Amino acid sequence: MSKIIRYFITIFKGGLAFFICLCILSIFIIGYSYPSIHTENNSGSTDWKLADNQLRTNMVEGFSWIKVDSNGFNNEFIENNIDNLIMGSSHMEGYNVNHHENVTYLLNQKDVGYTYNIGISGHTIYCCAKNLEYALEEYRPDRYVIIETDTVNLHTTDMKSVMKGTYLNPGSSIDRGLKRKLKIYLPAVPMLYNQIKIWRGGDSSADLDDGSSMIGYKNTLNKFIERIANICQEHNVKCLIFYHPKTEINRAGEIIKYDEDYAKLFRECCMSNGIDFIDMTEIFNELYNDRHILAHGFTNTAVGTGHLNKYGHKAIAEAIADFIKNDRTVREE
Amino acid sequence: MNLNNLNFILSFGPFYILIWIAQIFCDTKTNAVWNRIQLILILIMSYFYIVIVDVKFCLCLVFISLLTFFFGRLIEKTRSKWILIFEISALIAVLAYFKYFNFFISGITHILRMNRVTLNIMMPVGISFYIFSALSYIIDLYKGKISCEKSIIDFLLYLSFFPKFTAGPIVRSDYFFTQTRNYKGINHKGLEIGIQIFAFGLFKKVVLADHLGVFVGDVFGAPSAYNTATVILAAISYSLQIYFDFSGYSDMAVGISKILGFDLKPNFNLPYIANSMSDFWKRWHISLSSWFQDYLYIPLGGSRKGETRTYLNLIAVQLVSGLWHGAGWTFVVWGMIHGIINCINKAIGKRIDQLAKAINTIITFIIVTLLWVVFRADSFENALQVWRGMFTIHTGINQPYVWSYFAIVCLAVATIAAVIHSKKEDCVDAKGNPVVNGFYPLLDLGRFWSLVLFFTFCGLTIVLGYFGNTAFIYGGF
Repeated sequence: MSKIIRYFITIFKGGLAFFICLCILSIFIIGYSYPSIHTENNSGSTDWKLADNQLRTNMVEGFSWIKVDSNGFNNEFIENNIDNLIMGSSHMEGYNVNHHENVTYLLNQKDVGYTYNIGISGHTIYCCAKNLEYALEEYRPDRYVIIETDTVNLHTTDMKSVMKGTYLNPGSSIDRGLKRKLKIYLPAVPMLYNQIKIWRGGDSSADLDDGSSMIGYKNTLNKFIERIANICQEHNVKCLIFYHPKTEINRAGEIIKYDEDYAKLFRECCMSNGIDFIDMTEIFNELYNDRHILAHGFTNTAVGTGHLNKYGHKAIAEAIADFIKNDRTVREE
Repeated sequence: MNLNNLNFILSFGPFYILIWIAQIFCDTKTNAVWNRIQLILILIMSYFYIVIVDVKFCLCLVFISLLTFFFGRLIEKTRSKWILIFEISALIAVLAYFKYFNFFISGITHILRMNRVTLNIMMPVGISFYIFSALSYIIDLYKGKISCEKSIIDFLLYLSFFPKFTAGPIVRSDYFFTQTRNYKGINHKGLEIGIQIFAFGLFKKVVLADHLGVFVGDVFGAPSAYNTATVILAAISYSLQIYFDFSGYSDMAVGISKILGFDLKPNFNLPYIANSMSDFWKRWHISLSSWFQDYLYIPLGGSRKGETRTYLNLIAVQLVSGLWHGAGWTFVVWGMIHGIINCINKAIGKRIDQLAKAINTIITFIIVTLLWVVFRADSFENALQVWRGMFTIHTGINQPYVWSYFAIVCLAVATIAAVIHSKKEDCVDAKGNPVVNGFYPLLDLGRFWSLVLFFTFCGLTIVLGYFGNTAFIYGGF
């Protein structure tokens, strides 16, 4: 009997030690990499948003400590009258750089009117296109809606589903129930779970390729862009899409060129639908060739990969500000 | 299967429970029987991990094991030199076929200016390690240092023992068979110590080595794109990466063995505090260095046949060591330069001794780092590019990689701790000189706060770990 009791005491001791360990790790994770909580966004302007006024820390990819605004987005301050609205993915959520280094903050320093950012992770151009109408209704920007994309080689099936209204975000990540509670009270648990998932090899995402022809692709892309243009026209706002390509380098030390033909096609479709388009390829190339600076990557990650760094954010902000200040619409080009 | 693979860690649990159940049945009367059952379970476990990688690798291992086992008996019976030569030739032929066939053929076709011919040969995992173990068994048997192993189970286990199978250490047969003959099964103490050593190795591998690998891969992939400081940092990072990677694996192997009731000798002893090249090889991959010392350097005459012969022997040993690491000219040149520097070291050894030990350590580290560049590079051109990048001041991408600095701090802390520990324990070498030895900071997991600390360390290893590229560098040799 005493042996059984001893076993129970040992198990209890182990369990308690494990729980204390989780508490210690949670404190560490709050400073090291606290991803914040994803909540529903009932307005539909985004599929989800961050919990209001939350702290978001990141030392996994870059080093940043930011505080989310009262709407659940990454903005330093909120004004009532929005001139420009930014929509986009985690690049625009900008949790890899500090507040004063992201595109939105820099644009707000450049006399182009007040810019508000609703960029959030997992919101690719498909997702932005799907939510565009709701976003414009909610925020009613006066001048521009700026949409970020890191690819111009889009999937026809996804574009079609956006146009049909059936598009579902594959990376849906609203924190509910136990997951939400753990993220709030014991963030070490979801962090460990995610790391173990990657460790097991469950994080590989296959690249979709629907094998459509270039002509078919162009038609679909044109309709997709046209849809965006129509929504913007209805809301009497200009649309600016900017594309920032990856900045990986090859063995010769040159930036690898991706999707040049697709970028050309994308530009054509934008022009024909009256949408402004900024391709950051040349600007990023110049940044690298002149100053050996890459727009992506951090001192704690692989070179030139991953999210936009502070140089990438700065280059994009300057390009957008230059564009808006000079009102260089596609028609004038 | 790699020891840092989560599927390995998860599958180890059920096997361990089976061995633990067998341990429960052990009593004074049936002890021996149950301990044999435990060894059979470990053998099954070992073959299971090989089969899931590729069943062909398993067949190759069985072939080598049976060949060595039966020839071993024959050698003991007949003491025939010819049988020994035949067996050694057969083992080397198998290794040469799998590892060096394409290398030699491409060399010959290049010299004869013929069309390049290559065969699609898949090198069995761990072949370099278990063939060297088999060779040491056969040679020791012939020399009468050991007696023939009677138990086929023990012999199969000797070559296939999974903790050391992929990347060593190369365990000597007498050391291993002493443990199988006196096997006492698993125990709590072994589990407590083993799990800590394993966690320590896992930290070295997934937190330090794998993060460093990302940066090293980037810079070695395009050295001309980076500025001087970054290329130098990448070269230093590779020195740290290969150390943490391989010593991390060795720690995991030692830890798992301990859990299973076996003792493996440590394969590393703070190699970067070495104050000469010969000292470095006494601290780096100790089991391989001592293997070459015993089965190549000494049979060649060692240092007993005059100065010139000694130098030639040193170069020959390092040349073979280079070739052992990989079938490529970069490895051959890496080994040869190590050999030449060893000779220089031996020639001016007295003069070097007069310099401060700290300066010697720095010089040795710089030389080792420069030579690791050849080892890491995928061609001479690539190595030259990296060297050029290190020795010419030029602009380029500046990447002060944070994990490199973190690894340097970890190494510095471990070294300082080892120095203090060695002084406290009065560690001395065979000649009675004070020496710095590495150690494992083991906790008493019976204590509550030690358990908290250990769990936290494991948690931090998972949180900070990089799980993108998990292959061991030495697993490829």
